[in-house]
Amino acid sequence: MKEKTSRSVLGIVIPVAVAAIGLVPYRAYRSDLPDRIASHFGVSGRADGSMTPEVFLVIVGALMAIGLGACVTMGVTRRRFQPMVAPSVSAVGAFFGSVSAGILAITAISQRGLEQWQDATLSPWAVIALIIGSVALAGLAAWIASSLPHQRQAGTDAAPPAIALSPGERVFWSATLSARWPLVLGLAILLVGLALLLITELWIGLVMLGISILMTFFGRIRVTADRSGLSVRYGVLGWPRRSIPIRRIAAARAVDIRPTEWGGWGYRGSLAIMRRAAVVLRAGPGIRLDLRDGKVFAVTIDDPEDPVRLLNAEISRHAAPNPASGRESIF
Amino acid sequence: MLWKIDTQSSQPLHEQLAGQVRRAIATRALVEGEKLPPAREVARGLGVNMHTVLRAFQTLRDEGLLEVRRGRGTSVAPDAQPVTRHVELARSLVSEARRAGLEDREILQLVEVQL
Repeated sequence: MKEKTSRSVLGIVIPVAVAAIGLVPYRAYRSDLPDRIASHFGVSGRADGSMTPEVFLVIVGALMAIGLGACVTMGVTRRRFQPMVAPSVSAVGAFFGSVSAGILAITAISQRGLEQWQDATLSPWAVIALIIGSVALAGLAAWIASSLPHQRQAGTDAAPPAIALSPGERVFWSATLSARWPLVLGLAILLVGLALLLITELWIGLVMLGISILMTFFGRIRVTADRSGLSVRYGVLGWPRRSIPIRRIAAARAVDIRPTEWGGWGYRGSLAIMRRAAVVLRAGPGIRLDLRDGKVFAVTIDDPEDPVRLLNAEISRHAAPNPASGRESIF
Repeated sequence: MLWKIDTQSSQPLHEQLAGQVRRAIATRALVEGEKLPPAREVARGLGVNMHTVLRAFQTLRDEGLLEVRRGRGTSVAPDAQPVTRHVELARSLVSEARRAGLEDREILQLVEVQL
């Protein structure tokens, strides 16, 4: 997609379409709505709070405007941000814009013709559809925003260093990196989850339990590099595993990873949606891979020089396979 | 740590692998208690048989450099002493060679032909 097209879709098409989805039914059915409309629903789907249609429109409309405004800003501005800023802001903006617009539309459609707000009900399917649709739109906005020009990161201009490998030489590199914060945070979430399990509904506690297990994956990573590419294994079990095959890598570099430039700690971004992803356990040295399709993957690890030189050597060996490799030397 | 083997070298692969670990311990690339990657992964990464890697680990365990624990993986022994015998031997080689009347250049050649 050309830059101009990306800017128009992100800054105009998506915001106008989302705003229309929210405002058109609300305006069309305004006269059919009761004097007060249901604005809040209990877990059972029955209404338990109300306000006038005007106040409801102002509050939800303002949230929608803020969300869509973020998308418009990212689409229109010529300012170059850190690489993950525009995709993240656009995703969050599109999500809240879409949820707000959806609430306006669902409210107008489901409450038209009602005598009083107490009769209103909210279908859980409408909520699920709204969330799925909004997440999808957020992904689309992030994907478009990730193609816009961004700031270049320091240290990416230098030529990638490589070790000299003779045809019969084979190299393998492995290192681990541990961090304490995911375990501390995971334990805290686990305790809160167990407390919630006792006082609220079961699923909230289970979700928290799931999050705390996910956190432990980031307590320790093992990174390996060899002729097949780079792999990151999570947790003490070494599972799950993220691998980047050598044929996808254009260059490897040792870089200083600042969490603020990569969107924070943990697994940040997404290669598929944001064209960038980073495994960040701490600030400091790491490996940056520039992929052949322009995407970028990074992982924090100590002493990244060896794997970087290994990968660059294997990249050139992969690109131009030596006919003598694998054959016995006559000497 | 970085593992490097040469499939075209006359030195057996398991000896090369053991040498890589001894070197890593001597250069502090591996420290006491540090876990080594599973033999299966080293083997796959280098494209060698897993038994070749296990044989190297076994040799190093017998030397007291590694600790192999069932189910818990292989790690550097807490009291692993870096291998320095070759340095002492080089010192005695130089003094013996000088005693035999060799010049410095000839001592270097003497080592070179053994490589």
